[in-house]
Amino acid sequence: MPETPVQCALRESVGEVLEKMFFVEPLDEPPVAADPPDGEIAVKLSFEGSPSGVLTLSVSPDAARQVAADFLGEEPSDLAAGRIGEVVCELANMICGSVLSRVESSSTFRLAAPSLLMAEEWRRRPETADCRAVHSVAIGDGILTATLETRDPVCTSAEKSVF
Amino acid sequence: MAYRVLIVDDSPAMRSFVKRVIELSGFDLSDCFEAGDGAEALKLLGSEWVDAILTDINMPGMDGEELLGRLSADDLLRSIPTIVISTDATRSRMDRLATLGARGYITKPFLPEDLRAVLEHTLGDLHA
Amino acid sequence: MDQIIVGMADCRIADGAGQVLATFALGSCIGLAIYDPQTKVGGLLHFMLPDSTIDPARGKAQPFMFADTGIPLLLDQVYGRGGLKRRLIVRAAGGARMMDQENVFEIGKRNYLAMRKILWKSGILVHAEAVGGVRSRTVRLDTSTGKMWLLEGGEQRELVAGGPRQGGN
Repeated sequence: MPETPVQCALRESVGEVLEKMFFVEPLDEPPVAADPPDGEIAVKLSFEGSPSGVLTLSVSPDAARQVAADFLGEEPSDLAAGRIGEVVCELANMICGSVLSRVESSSTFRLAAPSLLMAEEWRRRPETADCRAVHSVAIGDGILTATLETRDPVCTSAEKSVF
Repeated sequence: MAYRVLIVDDSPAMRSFVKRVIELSGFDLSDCFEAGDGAEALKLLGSEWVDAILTDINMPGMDGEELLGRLSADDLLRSIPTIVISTDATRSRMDRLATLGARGYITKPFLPEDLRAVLEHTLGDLHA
Repeated sequence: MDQIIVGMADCRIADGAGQVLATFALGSCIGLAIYDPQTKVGGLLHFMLPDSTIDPARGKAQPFMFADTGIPLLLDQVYGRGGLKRRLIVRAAGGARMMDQENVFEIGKRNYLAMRKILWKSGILVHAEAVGGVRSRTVRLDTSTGKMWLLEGGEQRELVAGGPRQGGN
């Protein structure tokens, strides 16, 4: 099945954010199973604009610790758990903003503050989106999965005439 | 010259990152203040003077655009150079920020060196 | 002019007095040059792979082959000869995409990202770079002037901050 414009935007955004600010070259992985392993860090971020929707990001615990340490310029062993969550929240914020800037938007978008999810919330989340794009990558010894769900169909700026 | 800088972002991780880039860029920081949104920033600016402000746009509470608007409406505060750091790279946003008086703009994700270049361009005017 | 050749998986330090550090055939490898303009100490590292954990014994025997073992050593050696971190001018070249059978595809990019990560964690930003693309490069660091010269595609230019960064990665 060919990649949709949103999936393409998601893949490019994940790659760009991880390379530029985390110095990681993500390697494409097949989509992960529905249930995340124990200790996975999951973040949810909703956004309003054209389109509106939710981005969910999940990262394996060891990979999360490593990328957080790299981002902050600290040693992984010195890092408090709370700071790891903060970095993953910012990672979600940047990926979401980057995707929405690539996807066609006639007006500016607004991102809500990202929030950490508990494992039960992650598993219980409803699947009611009109449009859903998923991208998983291997980073370090773990996996990062970004899921973008929108309530309206979208198209990229490439499909509209340039301003 | 030692600089006093204010970083406004609801993400503590991004505030740490930006602070680190400023320090590694060779700017002597005598004070680095942090605020989680525009309202906190304005409250701080009521009692502290800073040489530069770096602000995000999307923040709960008062966002970066509103903060810029309040700064440009104030006779004293409008002279503080402000750099916007945001995920929003849309043309409409950037045009609005320029009219609101932002002196520099950088889109996330960015290389630390790119932020340094924006800082040097913006704060370079402050070298006595 | 004393030219000191830095080979592959090699690192040399020079301290002024008309010395030039040079390294050739930077394909997917990276030439990392650091220079303290005050003490005129300079170092040039030519590393080939990002991560020594794939072969720790080799990392010990040939530390300059890898970014993670070579870069800290380069920095230590420059500091040892009077270089100061906050004064350092840091420039890099290489990390090209070489479709050579001996090289793993994308090793150039992985070398570049590894270098950036190590420098960031060491508290060092890069001042100028010529990375990516598909062409091999040669670089020379003149420690008497601090200038770095880049030879790419038959053309020579000075590698300075603000110049074109990439060859199209």
